[in-house]
Amino acid sequence: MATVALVIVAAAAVFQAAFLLRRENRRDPVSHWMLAAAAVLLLLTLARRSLQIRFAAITSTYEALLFFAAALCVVLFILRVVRRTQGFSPFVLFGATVVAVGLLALSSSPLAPPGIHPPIPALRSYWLVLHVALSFIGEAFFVVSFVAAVAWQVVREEDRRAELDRLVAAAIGVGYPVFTLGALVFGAIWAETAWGAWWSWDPKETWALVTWLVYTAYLHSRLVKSLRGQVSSWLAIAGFAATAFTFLGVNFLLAGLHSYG
Amino acid sequence: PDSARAAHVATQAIRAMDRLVFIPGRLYSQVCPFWAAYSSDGSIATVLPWGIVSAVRIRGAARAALASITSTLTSIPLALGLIAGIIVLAALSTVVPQGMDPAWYGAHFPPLVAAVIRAVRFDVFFRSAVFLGLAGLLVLNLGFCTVTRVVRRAARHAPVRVGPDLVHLGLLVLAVSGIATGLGRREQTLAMVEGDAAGIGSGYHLALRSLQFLAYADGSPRDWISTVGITREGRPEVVVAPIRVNHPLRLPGITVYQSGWDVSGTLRLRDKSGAEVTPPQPGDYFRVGDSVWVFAGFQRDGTAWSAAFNRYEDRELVERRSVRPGDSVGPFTVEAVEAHDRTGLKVVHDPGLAPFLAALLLVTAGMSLTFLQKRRDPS
Ligand code: HEM
Repeated sequence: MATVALVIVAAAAVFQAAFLLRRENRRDPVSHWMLAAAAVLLLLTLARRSLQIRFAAITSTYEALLFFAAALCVVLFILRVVRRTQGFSPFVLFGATVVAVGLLALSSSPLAPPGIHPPIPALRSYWLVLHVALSFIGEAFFVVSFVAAVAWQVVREEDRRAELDRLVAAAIGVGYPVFTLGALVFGAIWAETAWGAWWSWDPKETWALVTWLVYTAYLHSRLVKSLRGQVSSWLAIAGFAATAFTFLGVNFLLAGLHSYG
Repeated sequence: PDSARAAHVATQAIRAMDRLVFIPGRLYSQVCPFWAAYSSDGSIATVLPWGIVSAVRIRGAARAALASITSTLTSIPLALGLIAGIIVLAALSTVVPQGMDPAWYGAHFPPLVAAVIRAVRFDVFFRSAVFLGLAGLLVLNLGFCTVTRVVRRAARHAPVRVGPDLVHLGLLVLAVSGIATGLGRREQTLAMVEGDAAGIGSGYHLALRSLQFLAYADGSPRDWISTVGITREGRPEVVVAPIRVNHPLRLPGITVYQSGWDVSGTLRLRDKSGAEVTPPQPGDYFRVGDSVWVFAGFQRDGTAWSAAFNRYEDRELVERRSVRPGDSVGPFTVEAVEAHDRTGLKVVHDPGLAPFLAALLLVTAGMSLTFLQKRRDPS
């Protein structure tokens, strides 16, 4: 089912690209429905795995990637339906859909083995489930802010920039509190109940903090006139780079570094 | 009507929160009109320090210097600079393995880099003066900002967004909890088999009554449960409670966590002459011809225990064998397999835990409010 979802999301991206190339700046009428369908498929896949292990299936890298992609598709669908104007342009939708394709492609690569394993004792906690789920929902909004910030760098017209700037701020305005609650608050509560220490500075935690601080810097940079615009936009881009590194870089690169070190 | 009601409740909640911050600020400005006057003109964001300055009658250049220090400490660009510094160094610290032996850095980095790492304590970055200094300055910065905003608002009677203030206040409480944890945390790990007992501090005494190991169908661990009886000095009652992974036992002053599980035991072997040999530890090995037998540890075998051995030839595993009393392995005969499940319990006393939870609540409430207030007033 996850493969079918990948095909659907990729087809949605192709469709969006075709519309973009016609340069009418019109939204295509179907791709967001394709994203919704993919999200349903992904969530069904996770539901089936959950029934098999009798616990929320969100504990392996594979499952996390599927959940992240599903959350992103849902967020894009909602934004497409609700936010009719104000910067949520076909380009932003396309860029974010490409990120979803990337996540699903990664989930079907050997880096994320799809084997089903029941969770080890430390992972059997609903704090962990809240922690992971809300972190990824927050990060789905960060994807939107990232693509909008890239678009801000690309376009030159002032009005479009202003719209994109509002979209970046709105996406981070939702993503930041959700990510804070998921990654830091619930993460710390889970760590405390599982290990008896709410913070231990392991690389994953440190990178989650770095990500959070970059977005904190983004929010405060908007309060300083001279930083609003260029600097804020780069911070939104850097924030997503940190998000991606926290999720993937720490798992795939730092672990390697330690085992060779 | 329902949504109108919900909006009404939300408005009331926001007002109540606003009061929470407004009233102390108002009181402050009543009691100290001088400071409030400074803050109300809004030119310099300085409140508390100015009160002290005026109380001890500092004048002239010293006063100007203090003014510039306090306004720097209240500035957002300073906050951004400090945050940027922490971001860069914290990110770097994840590529420099932390807490290794000093010699390790010499062996893995060019001499100059290793020397810098050792000099600035980048090997224990989050305990180093550099990090604590940056974090301390940020907290100071945050304190100045928060107090200034709260008092200035009260003096102006201006209802401003209270959400960010609660977030900032929560972060200050977080800093307090970090300090309390850093200074007052005590931690002890116990490895116990059924029947063991130990004093665990704060006047408590813990006895391990039973142990349970739950496994999934494939044999992998699902949960470890230690049932303990706890008494406190001078009190007759015994608290009997199960401690599971993710379900610690919380008592006034201490928390006990299920932190590990292993098997401890003694494998008694006799050699060909019938003499008992020194019991091997897991990992010990002996050679027979071309084979090497490695003692891999104890295994549950139904209700009894057996000892697991692996035989290697040319470094390749060629046989696994589990032996019980009476069996033989290489030149030895198994006399007895005496093994016990052993639990790992972690006992923690952390005075920072309560302020930590309070900080999380404040930050969560503050962010929710910020979000609601932004939606009502997107400007
Ligand atoms: C790690 C440190 C900090 C965190 C996590 C933090 C967090 C926040 C958050 C979540 C907001 C709401 C922003 C929004 O959603 O628009 C905010 C606003 C604000 N923060 Fe901070 N903050 C921090 C440090 C500081 C410092 C040190 C200062 C002062 C120098 C400061 C000054 C402000 C101001 C003036 C606002 C705007 C309030 C408003 O919109 O009415 N913050 N902060």
